[in-house]
Amino acid sequence: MLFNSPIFLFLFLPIVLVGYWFAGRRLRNHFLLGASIFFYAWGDGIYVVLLIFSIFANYLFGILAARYRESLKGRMVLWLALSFNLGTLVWYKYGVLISANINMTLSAFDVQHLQLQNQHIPLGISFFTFQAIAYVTDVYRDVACPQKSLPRFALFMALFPKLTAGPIIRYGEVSEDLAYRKIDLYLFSSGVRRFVIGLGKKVLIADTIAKTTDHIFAISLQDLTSVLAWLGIICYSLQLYFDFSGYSDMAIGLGRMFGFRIQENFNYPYVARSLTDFWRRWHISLSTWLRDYIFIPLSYALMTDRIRNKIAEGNYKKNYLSVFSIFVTFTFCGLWHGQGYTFIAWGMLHGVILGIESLWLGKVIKKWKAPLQHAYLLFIVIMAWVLFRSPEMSFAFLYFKALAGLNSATGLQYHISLYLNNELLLALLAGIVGATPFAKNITVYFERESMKRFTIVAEVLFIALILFASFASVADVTFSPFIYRRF
Amino acid sequence: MELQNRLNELFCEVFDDDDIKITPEMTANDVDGWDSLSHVNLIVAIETKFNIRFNQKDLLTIKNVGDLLNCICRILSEC
Repeated sequence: MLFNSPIFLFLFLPIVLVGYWFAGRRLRNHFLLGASIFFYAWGDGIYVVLLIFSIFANYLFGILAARYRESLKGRMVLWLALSFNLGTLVWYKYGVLISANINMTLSAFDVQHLQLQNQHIPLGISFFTFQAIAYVTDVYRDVACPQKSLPRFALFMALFPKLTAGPIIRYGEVSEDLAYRKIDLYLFSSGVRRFVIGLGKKVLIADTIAKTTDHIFAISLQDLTSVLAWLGIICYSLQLYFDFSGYSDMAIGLGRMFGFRIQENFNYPYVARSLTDFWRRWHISLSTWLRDYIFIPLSYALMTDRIRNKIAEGNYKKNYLSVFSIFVTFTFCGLWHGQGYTFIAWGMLHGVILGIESLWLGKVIKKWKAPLQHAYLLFIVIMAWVLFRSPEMSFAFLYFKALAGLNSATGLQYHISLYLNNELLLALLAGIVGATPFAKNITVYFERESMKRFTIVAEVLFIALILFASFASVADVTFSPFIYRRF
Repeated sequence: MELQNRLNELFCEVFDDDDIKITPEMTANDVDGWDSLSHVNLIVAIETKFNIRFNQKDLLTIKNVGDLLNCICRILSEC
């Protein structure tokens, strides 16, 4: 069930909200759990069994990890939990790719091979396996107490707002909320506002821009002019941000409506001034997960005594080991995003540049003027998105050629004027402004006492407007209330 | 405090900046160049210089320099 679908907005959510209210404190969690399981089953049918199994398994892992924390058995439990969760993820996500590669090798030796056909990837598996890994590791490290109540733990894992596409919540963030949530009108209304903004981001901005992006990326690469290629990738960059941050906003908003305070997942990434800064603002729940569960353990694991001494003596200013860890971490990040060499390449590219920034480029960039810093960051990130969007490496390569104007495109067949319609331009404008903290900054001005009444009314009207426009857009896909289409 | 001075010296070395003056409220945001990568350097330097080992729980609960000082203090049991 998509958040921006009529059935969710007009049926599921209202019913769940009302039911939640009437369930009262004692039955609230169970009701929400039931709704979440239903939500998952609606979206993915029989695979809900996998989710339920994962919940049981990780519940046990948590209890055991805490009990055997001090002994070798604890380590074994941790490794078992990691293998289970990662194994499930790898099996479903990369089973086909791995078996295809094994088959290729085996056929070279004329060996009988098994065919693993198109594997269905269970809904949200990348997210809930990572959430579980974080939970068991935190319990093992004595940073969190295990959740002894199975229904509460199940709710932690299955909470439907974050089930489809995160954020990846840490147990510590919600452990109190799981046990006790006061019905807070302020939190609820802030949740509604956040949800509506997220919905608007997705439906009004991202989906509008997506139409153009898809059209441009469908053009045969030999005929793609440089201008169109640039428009295409800039559109994609905005689309991706508004789609994902919009979804995160909806997840956070929904969480608040039910009393859960989920952490932010985005912080205006496109105003970052270095790639290092970018990753503190983009998909924050993932980058912090990678930092805490891959980068830091890996860095320490790789430390040799020789290097430790060097660091202590001040002779190891350039931490090459950490640079290697960064590279591995981001390759892993690429892998997590999807099966395909393009994603791995994307991750590696980010890893390499982050490494270079940490070694010397970071210090150099700090001395640049702000516009140059922004241009640098946007250039790198946008170029990297080409890999992210391309179905294959060969496509990416040809797209880069198109960007540089190195193909035989004449612009006769596909001309940019065909793609620049009012709807797109308005969405792009909203997108560019919305990608900066401009709106947030001006609300600070409007929050002054003298403006309070005006601000509240304006904000309510604004939210209502977005809600109406989004509903209209969702209810009828071809309807564009204030923006007319020419294309 | 003696411990704070020694730690300050270490900070200056790790972050290559002799002007650093640590305070208990200081966090990574306050020091130029203190990110996840240099944090590893810092921790390792502290562990080696003070001849101690932090455990996982310590590392994850340290939020500022004050926490760091308390932690080192506790492990060395010399406050």
